Amino acid sequence: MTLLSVAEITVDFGGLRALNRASLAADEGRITGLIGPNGAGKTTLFDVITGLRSATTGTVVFDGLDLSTLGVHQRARRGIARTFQRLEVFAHLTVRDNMQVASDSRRRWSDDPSASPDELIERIGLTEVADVVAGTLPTGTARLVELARALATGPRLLLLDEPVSGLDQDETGAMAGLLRDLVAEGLGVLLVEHDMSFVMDCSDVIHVLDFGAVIASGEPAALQTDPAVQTAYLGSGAGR
Amino acid sequence: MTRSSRIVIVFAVAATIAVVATNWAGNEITVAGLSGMLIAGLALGSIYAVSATGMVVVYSTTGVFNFAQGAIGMYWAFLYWELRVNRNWPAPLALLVVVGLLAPAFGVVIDRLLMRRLQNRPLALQLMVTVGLMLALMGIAAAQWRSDRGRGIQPFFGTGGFDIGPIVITYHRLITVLVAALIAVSLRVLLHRARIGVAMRAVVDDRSLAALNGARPGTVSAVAWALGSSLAAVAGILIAPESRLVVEVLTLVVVDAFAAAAVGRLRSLPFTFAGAILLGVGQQFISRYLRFEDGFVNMAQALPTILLFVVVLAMPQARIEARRIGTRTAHHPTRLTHPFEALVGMTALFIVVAAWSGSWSNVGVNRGVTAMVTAIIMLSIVPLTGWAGQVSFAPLAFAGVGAVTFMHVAGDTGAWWGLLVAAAVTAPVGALMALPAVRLQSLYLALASVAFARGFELLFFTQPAIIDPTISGRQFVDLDLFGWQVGGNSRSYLLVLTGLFGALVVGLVGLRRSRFGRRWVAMADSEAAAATLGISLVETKVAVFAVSAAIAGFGGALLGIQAGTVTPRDFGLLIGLPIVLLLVVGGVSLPAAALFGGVNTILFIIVKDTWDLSILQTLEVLGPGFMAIALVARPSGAVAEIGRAFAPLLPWRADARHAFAADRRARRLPEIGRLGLSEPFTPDAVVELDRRLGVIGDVTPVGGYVTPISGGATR
Repeated sequence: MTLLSVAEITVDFGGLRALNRASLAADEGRITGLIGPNGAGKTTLFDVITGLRSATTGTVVFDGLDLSTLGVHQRARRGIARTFQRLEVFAHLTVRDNMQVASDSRRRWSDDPSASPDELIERIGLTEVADVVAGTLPTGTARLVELARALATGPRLLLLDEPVSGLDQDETGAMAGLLRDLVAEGLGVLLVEHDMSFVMDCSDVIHVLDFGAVIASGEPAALQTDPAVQTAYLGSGAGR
Repeated sequence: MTRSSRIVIVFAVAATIAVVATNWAGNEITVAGLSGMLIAGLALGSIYAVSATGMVVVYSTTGVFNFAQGAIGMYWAFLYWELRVNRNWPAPLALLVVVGLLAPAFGVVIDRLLMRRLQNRPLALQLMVTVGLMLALMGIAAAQWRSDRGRGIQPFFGTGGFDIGPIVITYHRLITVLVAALIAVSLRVLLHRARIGVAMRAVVDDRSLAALNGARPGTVSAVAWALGSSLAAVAGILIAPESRLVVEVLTLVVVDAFAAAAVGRLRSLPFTFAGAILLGVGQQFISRYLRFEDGFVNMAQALPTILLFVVVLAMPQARIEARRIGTRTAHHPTRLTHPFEALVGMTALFIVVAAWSGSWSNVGVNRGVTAMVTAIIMLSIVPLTGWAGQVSFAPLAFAGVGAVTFMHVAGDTGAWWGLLVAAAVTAPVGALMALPAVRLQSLYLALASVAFARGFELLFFTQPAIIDPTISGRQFVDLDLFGWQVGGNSRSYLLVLTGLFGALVVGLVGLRRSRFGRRWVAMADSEAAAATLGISLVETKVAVFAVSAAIAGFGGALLGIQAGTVTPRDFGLLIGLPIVLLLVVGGVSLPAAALFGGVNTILFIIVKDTWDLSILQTLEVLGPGFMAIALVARPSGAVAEIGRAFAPLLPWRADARHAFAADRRARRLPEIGRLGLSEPFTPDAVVELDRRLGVIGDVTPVGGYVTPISGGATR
């Protein structure tokens, strides 16, 4: 079922058009990949979906509800969670407290006791650093903290902004496994990532963003041979 | 402009018309009168504009908001007086030396020593250091030029002027307006034509990108501060003849400048000018055509704070900022104090005070009471600034609300429950103050708190219904604790205060570990992340403001009991600033720092009374000022530093010994950015590098280490 549909989103930064009538959808129980060169507008799109940035035009509909008038925290309470490309861990809190903040917040709108901080810490593999102050963690571990923290809100849709950058090969493999488990439980995932093999491996469907517009959509295998995608990634000289 | 902005503006205009209509003094409107008002207002507005412009240029190029702008102008105005009047230098020479030489040099020096280190640091630190500079300059000026004699600067070309029909224009005012216009035009040319100006604007957009393209951020920030200081000097010298050469009066020009700069959203120079002119003309209009009675006599002075509030209300909601690069503070407490530890500590404090105070004189006991009352008011800042990262300069104003509340409900009986009423009444006042500004960046909240403190000083505490000026004798009788009468200056009161302080500290330590404390710290660390977890930032900020105000109100009631009487001047903005600074100097996130701050407050008084040196006469502002400036080097504060040094000595603090050792190791290592350039890649450095980058596993450097590039060949 379609969980999120983004329609015709345009965002202007002064004279620069960061997003140009971008449209895409993300489904429940599937991983939707979002790729594109640096500056293509991926993080901006995440900001629009979560409400951190308002779009010049266009609509974001989540679970049949138009989100336009809702604030950031209200959207989160409907079940949208995210991680950040530039880390936003709560640097002065321990890993466990990072999670506890999310779980306390969740109690405001949900009685569902699942996804307790301790369970998540164990599931994501943060047990060893649970009592470490998050600001002192290396980048890779901090990314996992952000993921676990996002999950602690019990989301229905998870937006992941480059979750494996800073992780080594084993950790990347573990992340892929974790994401598969999560979607098997019904979570929808929208995934921005530069690690191509990771995206191709994980995603059920992929959208390609270039200069703020969605230039191609499809299954991973089909996209790899799409000429428009090759041009966007390798420049127009490719293939000559 | 958004719809809500339009609504606010319509309301503001309607309210203005209503106020004007009800307070019309009935003066006849003549061309001469109106033009006189316009010229005087234009001149005054021009001065505000010059001062505000200096602030905007500095803020927009360096990101540091300069609370000391007014104080810097004040200092240069005094120095100009010294040269021009006291030493009788010719005006052009004095002007050249002050505006052209000393002021820019001072700007460059503070940029190098202080301000450059504040770029991209937490807002609270930036504001505390510039407020520290403000108090230090006030202290120096007041010590250097004692207020025991009157001083004045003559207007340029005396009081002379010329007439155009019925309109009289003095040369001074003409010069003022021309100077402001000249500055506006030159700045426009500088920022859009000159190479350094273009670099200044580029730095605003992206500091590191601009640096890559050849702009030197160091030069840019030095130029900005030099310019800011010179503009402050121009404003100070021009306004001194129009107002009075008094430290506080000239320092508070900064509030007018704030309001003007806020109209320009702290960025736009044309709007800043417009805001300044509006203020100047508005103030002249009020003093010439309106008559305010009783508690409202300060209306003209209060206009900037009202304007600031309206602007803040009308401003569209700010985007939630993701964390700026490098705003992580250096200090990560590895461990939170346990309430039990706090309880033991506070019990020890109580025993020490109880045992020691028996031998104190009345003066000593009274000072102890002052220290404790101040410490309790300071505690209000801990959750607000220390944990939630919001800056408020209004704790003393909230204390004042608590004091007058207690006075009205229990002043004549001293009933203990009056303290609780004071806290309960002050809490919603704090929430109301915060409400308009919480949607905006935290800087606006800090500005709103300044406006609030100044506004309450000028318009609220002056109301006869709030503090009756005709009453003589005590407004507060002894505290009645279940039948036990405790006098405000007695040793018993000191012990009661010590107990209350201890209870509050233990409570706060518990609060920090609760979900509220966690949420506040989380919000301060990353507003964007907190909001995307479903936390309402507005609710959270309003709540922490209410808690903070309640503690301040409670402390204020205790202050009233000590003082016996209160006057509107007791809760002024400038009197409250040292309280904020001394707490931050102690360590803003630590309740124990409030004790440090309270004790420091009276130490300054004791030192001042002990040694009769002129520089010490203003120690109560000079001390906090200089201590706050020192935060640049040690931002985590004195108590945190002391704690870090002594905690390893405690037998049960193995964690502290561990952290201390790790810290020493890290200190021996060079900055990572220098590795391979000016510092060698030693094995230790590589291990540290791995640790910081999170490389796990056994990585050993192979084949010795590489010598620095400057050293020539490798090996």
